[in-house]
Formats: sequence, structure tokens, C-alpha cells
Amino acid sequence: MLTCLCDAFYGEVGIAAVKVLEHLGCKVEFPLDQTCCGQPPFNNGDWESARKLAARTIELFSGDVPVVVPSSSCAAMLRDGCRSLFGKAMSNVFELSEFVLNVLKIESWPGDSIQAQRVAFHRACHGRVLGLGDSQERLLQMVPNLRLVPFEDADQCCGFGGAFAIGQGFLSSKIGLEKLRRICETGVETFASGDMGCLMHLRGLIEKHRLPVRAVHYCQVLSSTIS
Amino acid sequence: MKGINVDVNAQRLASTQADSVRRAASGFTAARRLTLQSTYGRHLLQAREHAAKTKDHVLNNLREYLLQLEQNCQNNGIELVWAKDAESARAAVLEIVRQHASPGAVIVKGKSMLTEEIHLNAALQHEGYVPIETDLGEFVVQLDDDQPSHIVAPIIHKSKQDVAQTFAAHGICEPSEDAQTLTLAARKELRRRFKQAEIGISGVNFAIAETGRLVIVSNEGNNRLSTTAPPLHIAMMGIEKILPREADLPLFITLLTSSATGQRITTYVHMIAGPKKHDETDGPNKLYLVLVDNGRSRIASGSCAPILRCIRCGACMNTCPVYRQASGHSYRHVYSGPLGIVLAPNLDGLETMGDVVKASSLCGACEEVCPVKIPIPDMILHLRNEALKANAATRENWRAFVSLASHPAMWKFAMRWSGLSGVLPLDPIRRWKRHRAWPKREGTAFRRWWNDRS
Amino acid sequence: MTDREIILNALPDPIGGDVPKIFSRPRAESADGWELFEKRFSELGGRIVRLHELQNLATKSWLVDEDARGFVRHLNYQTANEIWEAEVGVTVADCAVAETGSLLIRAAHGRRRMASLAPPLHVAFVKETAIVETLDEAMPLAAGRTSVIITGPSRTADIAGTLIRGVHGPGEVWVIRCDEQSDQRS
Repeated sequence: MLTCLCDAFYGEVGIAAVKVLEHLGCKVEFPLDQTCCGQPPFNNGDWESARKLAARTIELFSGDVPVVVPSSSCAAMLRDGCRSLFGKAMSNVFELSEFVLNVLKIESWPGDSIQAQRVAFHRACHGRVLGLGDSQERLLQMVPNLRLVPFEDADQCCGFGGAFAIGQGFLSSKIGLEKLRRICETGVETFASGDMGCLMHLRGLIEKHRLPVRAVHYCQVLSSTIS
Repeated sequence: MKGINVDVNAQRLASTQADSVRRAASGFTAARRLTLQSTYGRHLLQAREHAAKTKDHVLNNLREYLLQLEQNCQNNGIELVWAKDAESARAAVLEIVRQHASPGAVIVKGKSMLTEEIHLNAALQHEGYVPIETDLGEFVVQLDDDQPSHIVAPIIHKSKQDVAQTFAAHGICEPSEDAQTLTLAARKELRRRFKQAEIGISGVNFAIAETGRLVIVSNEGNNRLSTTAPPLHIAMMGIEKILPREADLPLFITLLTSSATGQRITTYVHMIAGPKKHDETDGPNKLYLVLVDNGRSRIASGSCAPILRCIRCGACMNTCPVYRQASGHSYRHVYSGPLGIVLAPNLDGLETMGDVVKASSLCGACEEVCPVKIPIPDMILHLRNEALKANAATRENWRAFVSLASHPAMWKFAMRWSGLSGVLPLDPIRRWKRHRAWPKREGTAFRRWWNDRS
Repeated sequence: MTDREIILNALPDPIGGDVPKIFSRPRAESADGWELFEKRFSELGGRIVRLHELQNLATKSWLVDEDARGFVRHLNYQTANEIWEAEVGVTVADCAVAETGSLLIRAAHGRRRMASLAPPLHVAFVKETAIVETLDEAMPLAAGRTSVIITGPSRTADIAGTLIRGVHGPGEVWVIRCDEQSDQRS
């Protein structure tokens, strides 16, 4: 699953995710009719609309083939959010790192090493719902020469929250700037995350406030090690 | 009457106040983690699950537990008064006060969010009585005619200078920024009040159904003094604050104090078994327990029933990224943060308070720290759904987006040519751009890449 | 309908079910209860003292609970006339709780709740054998009477997070370990 954000803006992330999966030996299918999983209206309380989008997504992805998505929030929507909408949810949906670590059971990274790099990692909140723990960080740390740098209050939300970013814009921006302040304190040039919602919001703040840091999806880091 | 949005209120907050709140909340969160780790280790989840189950059991059998509590309190010589709502509760307290106190009597109060919820002080003052808040933070709030910004630590939004100014303005103390000096000045002033007081009013942290005991936790000693020195004690309690047995207390006290401030236990755990017994030397001669409903029985039957498990520790607001930036005052209600955005609309109705449910990014940190595992994000989602159906909240128009996302051909067309910029209404995009840059399409569009390679 | 009837009727019907068993957290190994108590108690600013240290305080005014008198009779202290003016409060504690550094005091004939509350110094006598490890073990000792669990001096951090002791309750708490009624641990 590509996610609507990657479909609209971040094609490179989708491409990176496919490259990573293919490099690990998977045959990737991309159902062309996919659009949006329904999370935005769901979080906003418009469950009628959410049901329409979630139902067609579930229908489109039904079957035995595992569904992998480079986003914890979309995975959480289909694996958990749908419970509130339909009383049941999809079980064979995986966030990318979950799939790589728990299903493909990768224990070391089969790619080139990179030049020594200090990277911070922002964990998206929906990982809590999925029980991701530190899967994404563990996967990243398999890349030789990559050092994850900790920072203060790392487990705090970035302030995106979907429609929250629009409806409570001041708070959303303040929360995000606080997150970026903590990241910039470490002096890293780059930080990674697993959710384009977070990154769309944080990148928007970085650009507006001209902050000296770059934000990428972690699968882009992984993909860069594949020659 | 609709009030001002949390976001708007947050913008009006002085940055010093905001910083103060954020630092305090952050500090409490860190302290909580350390203490719970050292106390429960890997058994923490089990402890929380156990507490949640115990509370749910009480809530599922609340009528029975209330009757048991009533019986045992009465056996202890505690007089019970039932109050169905705020008005009834105020009237009941005034009736007791009129019967027992002289006109203009001083009434000392221990910290109680319930008494703020029902606006008790104003009612007492209106009748000429003098209610004095004796918790140091609430004392300052009262002098300033302010509101607490946090349910456990009322003045985390104030600096030492703020308190010094307040005290100087009210003749409590010469201007001084030494916390010790300020505190001792408050002690002296409040001691005067404890001696004068004819009545003490307190909240109740836990009421033990099995034995009719009322438990109050505090650090300062003001709650003990308020409930020991005056000849009459009025204890006020939400009907949900019941624990089944004495033996349940250690778990709940530990979870409460650890989750609130990172203390293993508060300085005082006052376990009241009634007024002064005939062979005891001191204590109040009379003790009333006012059981307040004010919407709780209605909540108990609805989808937000789990919020009644709340033991008022404040851990949720301490960890909440929104609360940390907004402070309690932005929420327009005595209950703020994650607790507040669920409880306030449930108590006061979606009409007046429905908009506060938007003040959440649904990050789930609150649920992670809640000692009784209240599924706050789930309830926020339910409330948003209800608010939308009742049309109380501002309706976000998803219809166009849903229509597009249901028609793959249209969707692909839109993605190809304009991305989301073409499918979202202008207003959200404009509001987004107020605070951050709108994303530009990066690199190669996925569908084109996929198409090209197959 | 009375408010009581309204409330009881408004509540959903009881579901029944068993009340969950009591949760007991796995206890850490602790060699000596008193050792752990001293650690926790002193972390909070409490002091374990010897009886003779009370001699210096004899000139102050004291509030002494009846069951504590045997321990201090020989000190010729001044009894406070006014409860609020007392400078030292002397009580017996029914037990000490090691895991938290707490004292449990249960109301009884001849005991004053104010003795451990109003004076700036509270001195508590605790029998050597009256030490328990956990709050769970202390609870039964509170049965039937108003009781208080006291853990160190009164404190607040309401003013800009600065910790201050002795806000309303005693700013100092001392514990004296003792054997039987009139004996003293030397």
C-alpha cells in the first residue's frame, strides 16, 4: 500500500519501499485502484465517510498476500481503527519494519554501508497502536556506519495529528517546533521517521523556519544502501 | 454558549507561563517513570491492569457499592447526603453550613477538584461565608482570583516572582522571591485560619466500601488540619471514587502518587473512619459525606464509562504534548488535558464543550501512562463522531475527498496533475500554510515510475 | 423522588462478577526491615535518633500522647498549654513501614491526632518488633479507627517546583526505636 500522501507528494518514498522489499527477495504487487484507507475522516469523527474508504481499501487488499505499508498510521487504521467502524479489522497488514523483521526475519542488513552518519529518529505515535516498539530504529541500526543519536523527549508526538494540524494549527506548530528544537540540539544533519504525515508537517516547519536539518523516511535511508 | 477554542486560548498564553507548565509537566513525567520502574519493574503493566479491572468492577456494580458504602459510613457515624447535580450539592453544603456555623464563618478547604467543578466557593461567598483554600497552590489561585492550571499542581503556570507579587499585594508577606520565606508566610497566615475555622471541607481520594472509610492523600498537611481541627468536616466525593476493600488501598495509593509526581507515597495518607469517637481526644465532632453525581451516573451507562476509572493523578496531562503547550487554562474547564477533553463534554454537554475534543493529536501517550489504563484516544474518537453527528463541532467537509478517493480513475487523474493540492478545499490548505510550508511533489511520481518499469 | 433515589435509579443495573483478587507486587529481597526503613526515611529528611537527644528539647513545650509518656517521663518536659503553640509532638507509632519509610498511627484513647500534625517537630516511638515491609501488611493495623500513614516531613513544591519542608505539618520527623513500654534502646 502506497498511502495517499506518498501518492500525492512523496513518490520517492514509495519507490524506496518497493526497492527495499525487492532487494529482500519479495515480489511486490501494486493494486492500481488504491486511494486512501479512510484514516483522515475517521480521526475527525466522520465515520460514515471513513467506512466508505476503509471498506473499499479492505476489499481491494483482501486475500492471502501480505499488505505492507511504509506508514504506521495507515497500518494502524486497517489493523485497529477498523474495529470501531466494522467490529473487525484486517490482520495481514504490516508496517514495513514489522514485515522486514518479523516476517522476513532479516537479522542483518544486506546492503552497502554508508559513509559514517549520525541520524536522529522520530517515532510516529501510531506505532503505539501497532506495538512496533523500536522496530524501525532496530532496522535502521543494522546499516553499517549509521549511528542513531538519542534526543530529549524523543517519544513525544510531533504535533501532526491529521486534521489537528489544520484545526489547532498554533498548537500543532508549537509542538512540532519543540520536537525540532530537541532534534537540532543534537547537531544531526538528518533525521528519519516512518510516517509521511509526521514528515510532511515537520518538513513544512523546517522550511518555514529555515531550520538546519533534513527529514527523510527511513526506507529512503535503507534504499540508498542498495546499489 | 460556545466558548473559545483551545488553540486560540493557547495563543493568548504568556510564553513564560507556557514554558513553566511545559517544564513542570515534563519533570513530573520523568519522575513518574523512574518511580514506577523502581516500584513495579516489569510488573507495572500487570499492576495497571489489575487496577483497571478493580475500578471497572466497581463501576459495573456501582449501585451495590454505593449502598454498601452508605451502610458502613453510617455505622461509623458519618452522615450521608446525596446530591444529584451541582446545584443540589451546593444547596446541601449550604444547608449544613447554615445549621452549624455562625454567619461569616471561616471555612477551611483542602484541595478538591469536585468543589471547583460544582463552583462551591462562589456559593459560600455569596452567603457571606469565608472559604479559604489551604493547599498552597490553591491559596495563591484564590488570592489571584485565578483558576488552577493542573489538577494536582495548581500553579505550575506561575513563577516565584508571580507568587511573590501576589503575596505582597495581599499583605501576606513582604516582597521576596525566596520560596522558603513565601511558604512560611503562607503557613503563618493559614494557621490563623485553621484556628478560626468552624468547618473544614475536603475532597475524597478513595472511599472504602467495605469499611466506610474515607481516604485523603496530601503532602502539606493542610488537608489533615482542615479535617481534624475544625469541629465539623464536610467531605465531598464523586460517586465513582469507591474502592471495594481496605486491602485495595496500597496499590491505588502507590499508583496515584507515583503517577502524579513520582513520589512513592505522599507525606500523609489520612484514613478517616468517622468523626471523633467518644474515647478519642480530638477530631471533628461531626462528619458529613456528600455524594455527588452531577452526570456521572449518565456517563456510567455510555461509551465513555471508562473515564470514571480516573483517580485524578494528572499523568495524562503531564505527558500530553497539547497540554504541555496549552496549559490547563486553555481548556475552559476545571478538568483539562486528556482527562478534560473526555470528561468536560460528558459533564457539560457537547453543545458547550464539544470543541475541546479537537485539542488532541491522538498520539496515545495518555493511555500509556494512565494507571488505570483508560482508553482515552478511543473515547476521543467516539466523542468526535458524536459531536459530528450532533453537529456541535465545526463540520470538516470530507465529502469531496471521499468522492474522489472512491473513484480510482478520478483519483489517479488528480494525483497525476495536482496531487492533494487539487483535491482538498482551499481553506484547509490556507490554514496549513499559516504555520508551515505546503509540501511540493518530490522526485518521481510513484505511479509513473511503476508504469514505466512494467 | 429524593436525590438518593434519583441517583440509584439512574445507575445501570449491577453486572455482578467477582471482585478481582488483591494485587501483591513481587517483593524485593530485603535483609533487614529497619535498614530499608532508615534508608527511605532519611531520604525524605526523617531522622532516627536516640532517646537522649530529646534532652535538649526539654525546655520547649510538648504535646505528649498518653501511651508515649512512659518513654519521656524522665525528661521533665514542659507540657504545652495551647495545642497550636506546642513545639514538639510525641507519639507512639503502631508500626513502621520499610518499603516507603512510613509510620502508621491509629487513633486511640489518650492519643491526639494533632500531636503528629501541629507542632514543627514530631517524635515517634516505634517498637523494635513493630516493623513491616509493605503497606499491605500495615493496613490491618489501621482497622476500625481513623489512622494516618505519615511519610517524612510535610512538604510542598508548589512554588516553582522548589521543595520546602514544614508547610503545615511538622517540618521535622524523628523516630526512636524502643523495646518495651518503659525501656529504652540505648
